[in-house]
Amino acid sequence: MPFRKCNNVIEEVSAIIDGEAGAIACARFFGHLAMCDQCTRYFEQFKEVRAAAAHVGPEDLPTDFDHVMEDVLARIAEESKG
Amino acid sequence: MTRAAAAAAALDIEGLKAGDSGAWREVMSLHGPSLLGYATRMLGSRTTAEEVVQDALVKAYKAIDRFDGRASLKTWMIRIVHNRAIDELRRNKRYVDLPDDDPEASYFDGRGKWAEGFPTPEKHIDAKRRLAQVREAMDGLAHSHREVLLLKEVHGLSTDQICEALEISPGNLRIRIHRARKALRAAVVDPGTEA
Ligand SMILES: [Zn+2]
Repeated sequence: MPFRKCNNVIEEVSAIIDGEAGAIACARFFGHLAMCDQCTRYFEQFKEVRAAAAHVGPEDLPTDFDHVMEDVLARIAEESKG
Repeated sequence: MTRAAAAAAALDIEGLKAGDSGAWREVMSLHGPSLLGYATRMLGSRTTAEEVVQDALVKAYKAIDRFDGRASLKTWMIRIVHNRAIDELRRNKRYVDLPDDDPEASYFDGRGKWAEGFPTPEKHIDAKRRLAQVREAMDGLAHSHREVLLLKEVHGLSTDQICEALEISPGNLRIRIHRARKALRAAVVDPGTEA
């Protein structure tokens, strides 16, 4: 198997992480990683950033939706009257 | 089945179509906070997001007869909120489309191997600071990148649901997600690079 180029390997990172890469692509990917520290580091960073992205939401998720809901219900009531 | 999924399954679609305010209250309590969270991160303003979500829900109320149950109700509502949010961004000329540049292209030499100067993040950066970095970087992404990350990583929607909500193909979604993550990684690891 020819030596894969790093820039081609990292194009597959997302598919690998999402479990959307096929068995051959996986084998080539991890085969390259076994020989390449920089791509390994890239892969680790990619996973780390991705995990952090999953936590972006909760802190900002509004807890008080009630007043928005009341406004919507009022507007709906208003419109069905007219 | 999670509690939220069970509640969603038991939702009274007929009640919604009949205009029953109890049914609307229930569905808004269930999905409202996450719709508002999505709009807030897309628009960068809680106040504007509240207006957008309000408009969208009124629109959903008027259009519920056309809801055919092929998509989940949540996905259907996200689509309405999303379209309304994009309108808002376009109206203010703030909509940022996909950038064509690859934030990492310069990392490679002519033979496709990593060039010297591969950026290494600080080793012992604490999780809280990393999260703040990612949050900031996410807000700086193009909207077409940000929306897929929000729906996938933050709201945990499936590929099908995201394609349904944004009306894009699975292939398009895959490319967007990958480019969005690359931009995010570049912004966090190597803040000098324009994402
Ligand atoms: Zn490599």
